[in-house]
Amino acid sequence: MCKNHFSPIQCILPPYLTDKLVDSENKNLSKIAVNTKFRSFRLRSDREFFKDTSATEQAILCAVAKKPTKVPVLKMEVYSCNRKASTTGATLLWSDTSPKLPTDKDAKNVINAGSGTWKFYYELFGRNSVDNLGLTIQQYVHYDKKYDNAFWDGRRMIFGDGDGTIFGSFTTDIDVIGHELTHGVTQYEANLEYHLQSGALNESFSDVFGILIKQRMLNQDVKKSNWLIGENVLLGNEYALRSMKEPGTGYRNHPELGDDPQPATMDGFVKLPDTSSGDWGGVHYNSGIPNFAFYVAAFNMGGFAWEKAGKIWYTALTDKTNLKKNASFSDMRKLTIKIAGQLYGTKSLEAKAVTDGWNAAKVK
Amino acid sequence: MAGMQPKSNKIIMRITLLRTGGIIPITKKAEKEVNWTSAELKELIQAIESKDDGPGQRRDASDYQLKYNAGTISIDWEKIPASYKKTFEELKDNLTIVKK
Repeated sequence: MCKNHFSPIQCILPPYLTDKLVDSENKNLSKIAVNTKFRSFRLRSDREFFKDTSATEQAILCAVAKKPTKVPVLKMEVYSCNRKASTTGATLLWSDTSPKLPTDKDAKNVINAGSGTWKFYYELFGRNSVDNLGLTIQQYVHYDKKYDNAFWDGRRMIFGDGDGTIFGSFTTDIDVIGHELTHGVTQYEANLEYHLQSGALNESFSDVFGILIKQRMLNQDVKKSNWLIGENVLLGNEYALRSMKEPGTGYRNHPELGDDPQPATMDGFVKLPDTSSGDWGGVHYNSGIPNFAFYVAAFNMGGFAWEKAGKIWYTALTDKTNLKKNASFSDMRKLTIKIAGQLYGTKSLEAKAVTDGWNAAKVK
Repeated sequence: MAGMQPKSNKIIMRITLLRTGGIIPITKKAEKEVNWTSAELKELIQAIESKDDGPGQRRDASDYQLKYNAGTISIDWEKIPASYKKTFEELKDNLTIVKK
């Protein structure tokens, strides 16, 4: 086909003239003529080929050539582990092809929050699922007996029912489900190493997007949100797993857990062994610091936190060049300030809010 | 495995199951007295010990450790031999939070 609509030589010249122009002293004309001859040859050979193909072969080739771009859709499966400490032999409770929702309350919870999470990433950032390639979101509920935890195993999310005394079901908070799914997103993006400061950033990204997913699903702006993570999972009206607004106040004087150990600022940074019992260097402790920086930044920007602060943090998370696997809080500070400047201007309210956030968390 | 050694070789020992980690990092533990031979213990440890090579791609996951007279090992729950399942399930059911 004639692609260059502004070059009459390539469009309307008969072959004998093209042949003549190939030998032209004008190098440009000669080059164009050679290209035209080549294209004509390709067209003729294509016609020759298609003349002898069967209808099936033509259909296959047309399907390849005209493959329509599919609009991404949520793909999700929910399984029950039937209170066994294994995903092997789990029962399928629901999949996105099922017309009806299941009766199981935990399954409903994870479908609702999982769908909200998928929509959050797709509608705001054009991201198609955890891997941005349409990965089926697999969620496993009723893991083990009275299991008081939820986790991402590298491929899927797993939720326990809680012991019923200290912890309720780990499916009862949208932010906890968003937190676990975001671990998947982080794995496919910056893939922050899960220890020390990069591990705390990994945790913080999950809290940040967990709370943003909840805020968006509940239509809460920065003032309306209580900025609590897991306020239903940890039983008791005065308790939550964490507070992003005031790290270290998620729970206080809890009869079993004592006080929330999260620091809000760098001078309270917790040094722990880089082991499982040391929480891999305190990843769930020190995440309070970047959490607080995000809260201050988002609050100062005002409105819906996912619109600007969320965009800045998502841009950082997906910037594999500048957010290294072993990034420190200081690296994250520099990157988010830079991104805020690029998106909104270096003198903008948004860039100032991000700078003020990190300053409030005492991260230099 | 359990019950295969002569009764005279059995020794009473206290074992502790520890669970660490999680979305909120807590340590839970449970203790139990067992009557195993040293050969049984050695065989059990060989079967269940897992290499402590970091979290991999697991996030917020919890891990189990077994504390016995000679040390502490990380354990792979899936590898617990059938003859010891009941003991470990009982320990797991009795896990309580270690207060800080």
